[in-house]
Amino acid sequence: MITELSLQLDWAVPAVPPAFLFFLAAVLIVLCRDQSLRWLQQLILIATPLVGALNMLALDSGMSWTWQVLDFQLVQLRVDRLSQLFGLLFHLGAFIGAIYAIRVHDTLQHCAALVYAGSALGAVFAGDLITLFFYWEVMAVSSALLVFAGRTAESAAASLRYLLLHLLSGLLLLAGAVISYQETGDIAFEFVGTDNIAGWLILLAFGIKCGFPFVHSWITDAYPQSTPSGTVFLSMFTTKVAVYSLARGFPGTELLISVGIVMALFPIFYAVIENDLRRVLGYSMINQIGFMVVGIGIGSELALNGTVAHAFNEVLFKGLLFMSMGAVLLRMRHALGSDLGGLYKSMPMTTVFCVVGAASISAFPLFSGFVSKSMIMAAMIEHGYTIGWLGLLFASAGVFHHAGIKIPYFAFFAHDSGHRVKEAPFNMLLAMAIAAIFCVLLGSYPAMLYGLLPWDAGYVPYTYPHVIVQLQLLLFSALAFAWLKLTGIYPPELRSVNLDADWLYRTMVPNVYRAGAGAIVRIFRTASGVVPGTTQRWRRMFLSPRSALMRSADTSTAALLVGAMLAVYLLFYYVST
Amino acid sequence: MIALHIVAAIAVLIELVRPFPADEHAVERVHALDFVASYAVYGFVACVILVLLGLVLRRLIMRHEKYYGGEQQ
Repeated sequence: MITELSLQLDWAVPAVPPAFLFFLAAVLIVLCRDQSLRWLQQLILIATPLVGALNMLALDSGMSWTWQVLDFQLVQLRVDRLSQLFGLLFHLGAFIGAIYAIRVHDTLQHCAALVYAGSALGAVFAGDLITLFFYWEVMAVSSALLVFAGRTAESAAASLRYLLLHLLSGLLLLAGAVISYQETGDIAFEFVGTDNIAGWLILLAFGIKCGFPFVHSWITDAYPQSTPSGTVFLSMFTTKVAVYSLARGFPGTELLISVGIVMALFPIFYAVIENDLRRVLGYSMINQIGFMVVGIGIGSELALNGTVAHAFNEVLFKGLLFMSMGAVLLRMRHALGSDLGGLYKSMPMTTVFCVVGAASISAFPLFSGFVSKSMIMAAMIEHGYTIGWLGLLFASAGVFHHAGIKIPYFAFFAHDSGHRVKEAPFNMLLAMAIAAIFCVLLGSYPAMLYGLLPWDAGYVPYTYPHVIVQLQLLLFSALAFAWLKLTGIYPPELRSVNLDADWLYRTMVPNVYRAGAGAIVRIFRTASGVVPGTTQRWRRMFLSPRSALMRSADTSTAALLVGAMLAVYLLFYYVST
Repeated sequence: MIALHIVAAIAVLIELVRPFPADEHAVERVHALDFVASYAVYGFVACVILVLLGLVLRRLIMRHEKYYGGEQQ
């Protein structure tokens, strides 16, 4: 119920919350799903991020758009440098993704992608926890649809697992918001901290979306199952919204430094032995987010600047890498390192773009990763976390190893697999080119990026020692790869499944459940030996199709049950107040 | 391959020819890595350890391609 709509706009251009534009576009896409209107769908897909960006530029710092709903002030729009930076990034990402996806003829994907981008924008501009929760859930559902759009039995199953974890995250966020409201009477989304249970719940909610250890496996489980363009969209928004939320809610939370270091380190081992190259990118994504989480944990201006700058760059270079692997997937119908190789002969442009992405993620001088990751590293040293810094340096070498060398090497070089395919279609090449240009531009002229950052930290990336030590680190990592490959120690690419945290809920929990159910059956068997007819009686009660629990009830009974349940709620409510 | 060796050698030699300025605040010269070509050594050793541990990890967690019962590709 909206009782009051207060707009604080004194603009000739009516600027609206960015999410609304995308939602409107998604509706239009559905309306234009007729074959003859396909060009209109494509136009909407491309135009929405552009119009959205113009709209966003009209948003003024400090502007807000508030709804009064019941007792709550819901802030749809909180415009400051942090939200503007992510807003700009998401528009750019959506634009690149739209070009990449434009030849896809699938209304579901286009619609889901627009809603997904819109809800990500909604989340970064949300000024209160309820609004954040709303967009959090829309994001979960729309991105799960993108996973589902792979339209295989595997992608359907992966999208369900993905959705369950993300709904859990939303539930935790809501619980945290409710408890926080009860304690403070405030739902504003500002610094949260871990002083109370609400803070911990919200931290865990953000952590799931961020890919904290043990709840990270949705990334590596779901991302390789989506379509080529679906994965590009997926890689751009969810985790970056989580990084944004952490940066706003938990800067300086020291625990995050340890969490981030673990996140930066363990995926590199998985990435070395993983065969599906899109899954390798998933692991490397967790690794990169690890760096950002460390930056948030340090919480200084330099560290937070580094975090958001790196998030900005990561969307572009990880998007670029996912796009190049998507192009391989499109042409080869798979992206398994074991069955690829030698593709540079038939996909030279894609190869070049992939190498640019690889150089950027590895933080080669003149490429974008170099100017952002080093801010976090420098902040580590500044605050005296030398051991942690050494860990991150290890992770940096590891990134280069698996994302910088392994991805391009096994896909495009290595032994010639003999496959001769067509180069990626023009629109994909164009999308990759735009991302690649940004990777080089931001890496070579860091002032462009630094000017957008929330704080002025005065960091200078291009110093003589920094460039040289980075080159030493990377070149000798490359040397190690080359020697290990020549001596045959390097693990060959094998078709396989590597167990990860998702094993817990894909294998262990079902097994425990089955074992438990088996034990109960045995107990009844034993009991029926003592008291004749027990098994039959239990079977009649629980397992036969006509038993109370198995038969389907009619609508009126269901309504009655719901009514009864509400009555119980009401009772509880009166008792508790 | 040869080019890689040459470039890597240059990256180390250049530090020998022109050492880093002895600036106390230079981030690159933390105690742990305060010797010439330290980053080169660290990068090389890190990658060897990475691969060796990766091999151990593979023995522990690698399963058959259809482990989760996938119908696949």
